[in-house]
Amino acid sequence: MAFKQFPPMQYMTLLASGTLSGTSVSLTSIPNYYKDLRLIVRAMTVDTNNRGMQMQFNSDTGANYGVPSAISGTAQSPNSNQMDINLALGTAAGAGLIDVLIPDYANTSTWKYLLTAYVNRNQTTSTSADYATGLLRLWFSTSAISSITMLNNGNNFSSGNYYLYGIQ
Amino acid sequence: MAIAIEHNVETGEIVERPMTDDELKALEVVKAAAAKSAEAAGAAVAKKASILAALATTTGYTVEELKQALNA
Repeated sequence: MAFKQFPPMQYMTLLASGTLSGTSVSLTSIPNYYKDLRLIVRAMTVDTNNRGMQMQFNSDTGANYGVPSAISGTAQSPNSNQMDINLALGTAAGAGLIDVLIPDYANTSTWKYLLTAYVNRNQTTSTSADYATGLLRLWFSTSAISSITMLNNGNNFSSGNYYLYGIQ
Repeated sequence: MAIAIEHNVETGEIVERPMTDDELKALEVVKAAAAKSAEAAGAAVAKKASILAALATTTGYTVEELKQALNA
């Protein structure tokens, strides 16, 4: 009798973890031998209200990103210098959780995208949540992704932790 | 001072350094985009409030009742 095999414990490998601080946090020299990347950010707070997280790949600061306003569409052109990940965060938004999936990040023939979901405290009503799922962000580059930069509109991260996983 | 943190995934080394002039210039673009999107979000909220107020006047329902009905 054949048993269905569950993925081994190494299915998701923690590649890096740390604390958010400073103006930007870059995860560099990401190895290219995983299938996908998953980035979890816990309890991020920022030093200014109305500021959320943005990301850039491979230190690309050009207008090479797409931030679509719908879950599907056509003729989306590059329209941004960064990928907005979550919406306005308050300085006391600490219960937030952000989940970012970057599929097939190491291929060198297609444009890339990330898919994100998040929940965080509403900055004026702390018992309410701001949330979204299935936000799609595009990077108009065929390069393999070897670094991820996290920003928050040029302000500083006050606290929070990041966990980068490689998915085999 | 704007600080960049670099976490090398391969080696585990974490370096903290001041941002370079080029990085600071790029950051200004990010800040400008953020200000623009905050402005757009503010305008959208104001427009929604204005529509709800107009609807409340014509229908007799309260803004709160309309909000609940529209979210249903």
